Formats: sequence, structure tokens, C-alpha cells
Amino acid sequence: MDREAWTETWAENATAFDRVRGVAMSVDEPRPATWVADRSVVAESTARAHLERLVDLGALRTGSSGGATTYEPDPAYVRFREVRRLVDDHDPDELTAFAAEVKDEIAALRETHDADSPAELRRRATSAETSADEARDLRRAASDWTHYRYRLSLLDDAVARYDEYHTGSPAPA
Amino acid sequence: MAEDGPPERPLRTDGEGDDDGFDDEGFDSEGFDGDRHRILREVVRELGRHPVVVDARGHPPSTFTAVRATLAPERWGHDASEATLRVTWRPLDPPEFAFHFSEPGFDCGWHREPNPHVDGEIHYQERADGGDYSYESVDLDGDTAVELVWEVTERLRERLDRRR
Repeated sequence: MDREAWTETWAENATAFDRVRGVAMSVDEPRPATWVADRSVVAESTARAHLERLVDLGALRTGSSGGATTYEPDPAYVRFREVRRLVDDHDPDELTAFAAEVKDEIAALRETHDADSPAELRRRATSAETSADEARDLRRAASDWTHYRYRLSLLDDAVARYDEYHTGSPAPA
Repeated sequence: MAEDGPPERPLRTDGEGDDDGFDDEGFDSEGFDGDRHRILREVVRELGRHPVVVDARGHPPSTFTAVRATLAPERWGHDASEATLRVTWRPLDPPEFAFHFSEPGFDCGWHREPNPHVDGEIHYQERADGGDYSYESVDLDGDTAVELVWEVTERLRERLDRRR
């Protein structure tokens, strides 16, 4: 497919800043401004200016690689953004019920794989006795487990800090 | 990423007996624990800008393992009583993902995961009226989930255009 076919619709519905922000917040590793610019369909100078603004706002943090400045999402920002959303969208009873469901998923993985952590699953995936298909399944299970425990940590924080973060609008029924 | 140190962790006061599986190291070797959550959140946000999307949210709301969007394909001139797009993402190396569209009697999707039916990891699959899936290897331009939201929806629009 012609890249312009979809970047045109994207540009009609998202500003240059929104595109830079979206790409920068969804990277899988720290990336330089040139990389972000190519994917956001903006000039490198534009990308750099928007990225620096996002750094000022605390959304991104910088590093360096091969002499170039790299950008990646700041984990503390990402974390607070999610806790804020949970507190805004749910009441403490719902959050507690969600946490119980996530714990059930973790318990199911623990039981299915007879393992104590995602790291253990990843170690097994690299074992010489593990087939390629088994290794893939183990990495997927480890990825799920990691996701669940992150989710659980957000829910725990949202419950513990509910009164502090709740803005006073009525909680949803 | 991991060299920068462990991510924030909740303050735990219950001592022994945690059942959430935190490792001794506190973080995993493959990036931060929150990568899937973060990327799915960006997918929710990006779908929310798309003119064909009525609503996009994490699904299920407890575990947030996927994004589910309700679409209005009639805005593309395609009639469908009920149309959804489901997005999953596993931040493996390389990432595995699926953008899968469903309407009554037809579903199709762009997936990146090994599949015995096709060479290469990225493929398109579709089926009609509960039949078997047909598969086709494809290339996608987008790297990030945010780009893929726009690329896949454009491909979907073209596909639905041919079904009309």
C-alpha cells in the first residue's frame, strides 16, 4: 500500500504535535529525532522541537546513542497517567474487583506453568531442551504475566491513593 | 531500557506471600513491565481520533489485555449493523500484534505472529460466513502501533470497499 494513502488520513485527523507525541509514546526502544520524524511525517526540526517540549512536560526522557540524543517515554509519567485514569473512571469497589481478577490471571499462569515469575519462564525459554514452539509460548506467557503484574500495581496504587487523587466529581455508579 | 534501573513499583506492606510474581530483580530483561499497557493506551488514544471509530477502550476493563473499538463503517459507505476492531499487542522481540475487524458474517485482520499457513510473520487473514480463514503474507509500512492504527484502518477501508 502507498504510504501516502494512510499518512494523509492521519495528518487530516492529528496535528504534527499529536503525531510526534503518538510515535514517541509508542516506541519499543529509545529513538532519535530523525527516526521519530520519518514516522510522524514531519521535518526533523519540527520533530525535535515537539520532542523537547514533551521532555519539558515530563512525558519523555532523553538518553544518547552513537552521539545522538534519543527519546523514550518516561515510565513515571506513563504510570501516573494510568493511575489518574483509573481513579477518574472507577470507584474503589470496582478497582478492588479488577485487582482480584488480575490476581486470578496471575494465579492461573503460575499454576499452568508451575513457575514463580515471568523471569523463570524466560529462563526456561532459553534452555537447550526447549523447542522453538515451546519457547515462543513461554515468552508469550511471560509477557502476559508481566503485563498483569504491572496492571495489578496500577490498581493497587489507585486504590491506596484514591482519596488523595480523586478530584471530587461523583464516582460512576 | 533495562539498564536505567527498575520501574516504579507499588509500595507493598503485606510482606511475604505476594502473589503477583515480582522477580528478585524487580524488572524483566525485555524492557519495562508497563510496555504493553503503554502501547495499548496509545492505540486507544489514536483510535479515538479516527473518523470511523465511535468508541475505543481497554478490554476487558479489569485486565486491559486488548483494545476494543466500535466502528461506524457506514461513514465509509459500507453497511454493517455491528462492526468492531480488536487490537492486541505483545512487546516481544519482534512484537506480536493483531488488528482484527469483525462484522456479522465476515471478519479479517492484520497479524504479526508466526503462522503455519504463510511465510513471514506478518499476514492478512479473512473468512466469511463462518468458513475457513484464508491467509496471505503482507508487508506493513508502519513500525509503531500508532502508525499501524492508520495503516490498517486504511487497508480495512479498501477491503470493505470491495465487499460492498
